[in-house]
Amino acid sequence: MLETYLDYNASSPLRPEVAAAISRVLEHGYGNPSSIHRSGHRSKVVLEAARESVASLLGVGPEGIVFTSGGTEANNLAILGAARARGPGHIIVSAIEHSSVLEPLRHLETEGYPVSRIRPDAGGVVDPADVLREVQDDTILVSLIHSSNEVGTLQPVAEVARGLRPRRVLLHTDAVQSAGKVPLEAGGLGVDLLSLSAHKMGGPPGVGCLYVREGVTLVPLLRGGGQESNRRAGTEAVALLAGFGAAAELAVLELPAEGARLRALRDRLEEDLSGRIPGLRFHGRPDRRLPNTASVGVAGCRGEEMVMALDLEGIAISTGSACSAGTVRPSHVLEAMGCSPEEARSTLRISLGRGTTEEDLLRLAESLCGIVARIRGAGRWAAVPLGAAPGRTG
Amino acid sequence: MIREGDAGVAEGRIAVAMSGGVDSSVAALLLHGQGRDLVGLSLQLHDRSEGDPGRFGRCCSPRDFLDARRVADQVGFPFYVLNMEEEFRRAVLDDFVAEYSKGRTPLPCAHCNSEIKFGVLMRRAEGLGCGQVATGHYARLGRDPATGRTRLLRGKDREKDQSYFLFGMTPEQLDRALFPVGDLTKEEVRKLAAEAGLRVAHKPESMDICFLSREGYRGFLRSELGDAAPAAGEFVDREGHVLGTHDGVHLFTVGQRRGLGLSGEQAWYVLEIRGEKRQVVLGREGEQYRSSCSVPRPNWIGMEPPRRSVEAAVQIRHRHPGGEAVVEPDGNGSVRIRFRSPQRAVTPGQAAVFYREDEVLGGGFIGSAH
Repeated sequence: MLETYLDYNASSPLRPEVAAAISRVLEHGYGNPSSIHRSGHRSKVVLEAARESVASLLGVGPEGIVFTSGGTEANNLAILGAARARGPGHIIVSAIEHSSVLEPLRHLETEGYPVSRIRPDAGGVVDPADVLREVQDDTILVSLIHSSNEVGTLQPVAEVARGLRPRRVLLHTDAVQSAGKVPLEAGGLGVDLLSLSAHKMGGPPGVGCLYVREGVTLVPLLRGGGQESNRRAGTEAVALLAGFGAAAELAVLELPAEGARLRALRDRLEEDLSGRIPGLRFHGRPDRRLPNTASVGVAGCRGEEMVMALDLEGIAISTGSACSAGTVRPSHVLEAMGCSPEEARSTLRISLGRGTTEEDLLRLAESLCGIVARIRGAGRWAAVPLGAAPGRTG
Repeated sequence: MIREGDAGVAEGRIAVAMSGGVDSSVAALLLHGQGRDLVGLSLQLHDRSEGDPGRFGRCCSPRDFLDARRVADQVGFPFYVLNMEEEFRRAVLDDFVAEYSKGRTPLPCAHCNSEIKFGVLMRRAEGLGCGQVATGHYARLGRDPATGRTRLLRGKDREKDQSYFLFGMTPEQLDRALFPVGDLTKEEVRKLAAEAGLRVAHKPESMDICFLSREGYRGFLRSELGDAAPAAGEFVDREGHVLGTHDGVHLFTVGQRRGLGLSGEQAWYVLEIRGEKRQVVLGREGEQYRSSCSVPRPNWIGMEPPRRSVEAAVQIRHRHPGGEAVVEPDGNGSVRIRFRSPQRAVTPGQAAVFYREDEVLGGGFIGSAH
């Protein structure tokens, strides 16, 4: 079956150049980058080259890059590491963060850190004034996602950074979903901590990084050897990190043109869908979004059902809901934006990427039209509760 | 979408409801062998992510889903998990708790079949382009050549027959249902699974109500009801003499002998539960037989709702052999069952299902027994 992959925000297919970079390391049997011998030396060279590539994507020096096992670890290290280094204090966070930011914070609350959560407007954008107004004398950390993984809205990270500058408050941004999709200069943004994940930008799953501005101290999550300048113990996954580096280089090279291309495709898709399917609602302010993400509510249809039906036709997308272990809770992001649970449950997330073509999107629109009609028409004969059926009796 | 002829052959995609057990796995295997286009669906009926993981039984365990997923992968068809927590709560759990609270003994599997598997699932499956839903039930479908009506019959393996739990299905549901293992014995099913190398071939059977844990229904009711549990009441005999006190009518079922907490040489049996009076009526062996019961608004499958009395074998609980009886319509859509010989523990809340030989004529929930 023809496969159309439109779920780049979940994971993006490995770029061939990235696969080649990973294979090179795996095939040549490099050693432990901390070893003295030549085999270790070769790994160290690869590792540091990758660090430089990732650093240049962020416009920072390589010494600020702490490699991790992915975006979740980077977010955990940022939140828990910074909070524990600064001691108990107040933390501000947006209500539309990824769960790998929200859950460590929930844990910190049990340790006595008060947490304020800032809701976005109905368009899914947080007002920087709302964040700054919440800052108190004992505020130690603000965490504001760079772009929402679910609806793609870009958050005013630079404005918040400017407002925080006179204060001794750290600013973390989870930029996992933005990397490779919009320009991302950690220096220019003015953040202290920034999380990335390789597999959201054409790299392999299993690696990511936390950028840590010079002078910011963190209490490490993993202790052991002195890797990553004592900020993250454990032998580095050199092969995967080589892939991360290769993906970062590609992103630097391709970003401006690719961003414009995806935006044009995405906008055309939204237009196409609105013209063909009644009862759609697009989430997220159109002027403040990632170029590759469309989040659309389809009245009267469950997200998971549409996703399954599309999958049966060879099209991979996802719901607007965060699913884990078979549990579907309405998306906390859409709820924070004021959507009803029912609206949140009827939402699809379509995310484009490097391999996406106009044909893919035409195919999606065509299939979705048929599926929505079918789901909306299903169950006209719907069963009545057993034992309460007056219709079928003598 | 509607089946053609007795063979039940139709074009189009079939949804197979997969529990991760051997029966539904073999159902899928058989349909796949007929070249049918399948979608495997497992139902997530409880949120296991919150609260005590042991609160619900083995149903919907990640392990079962993984078994179903692996079978789908091995046989070669797509597989998804559908979330139906809210629907299951409304249709099955709420009724289960409410019935016990009234002193009745519910039959959750019947609600699940009618309202979840052949209700919500069938509707959702239609959204996935599936005109039919197949399950691993031991029951058979046939067609009445005269009326064109779909008939519901006992499974070939009488030991495993599950037609009792399917009495509530509507004609529309029956027309779209498939029971591929209904013509097989359990032994044959296991053999087919083993021959196909399915990992579930020797998986142990789930005998109890799927959502109950080791704590049983009392533990489940305790966690569901909390402070809202029925208050304590009295044990009385048939003449109304008080024999003792009990902790609530929800803790008893008609016919129960053990766990009454009364001493004495002779055993007591629960004869009747009077929910509103919070009374549990006890009696001695021989007293728990009843010769009639009411069945409000039964569902008719094998015949039009009758105007006159019909003879049938009436099964009043799972594995009950069925008692010869006359089913008398009252003219208002309800019936009274008069058994030829009194039946032990005719239990309100359980189903009375009317059979003619192997065919289900109809059935409903028992209202009261006399």
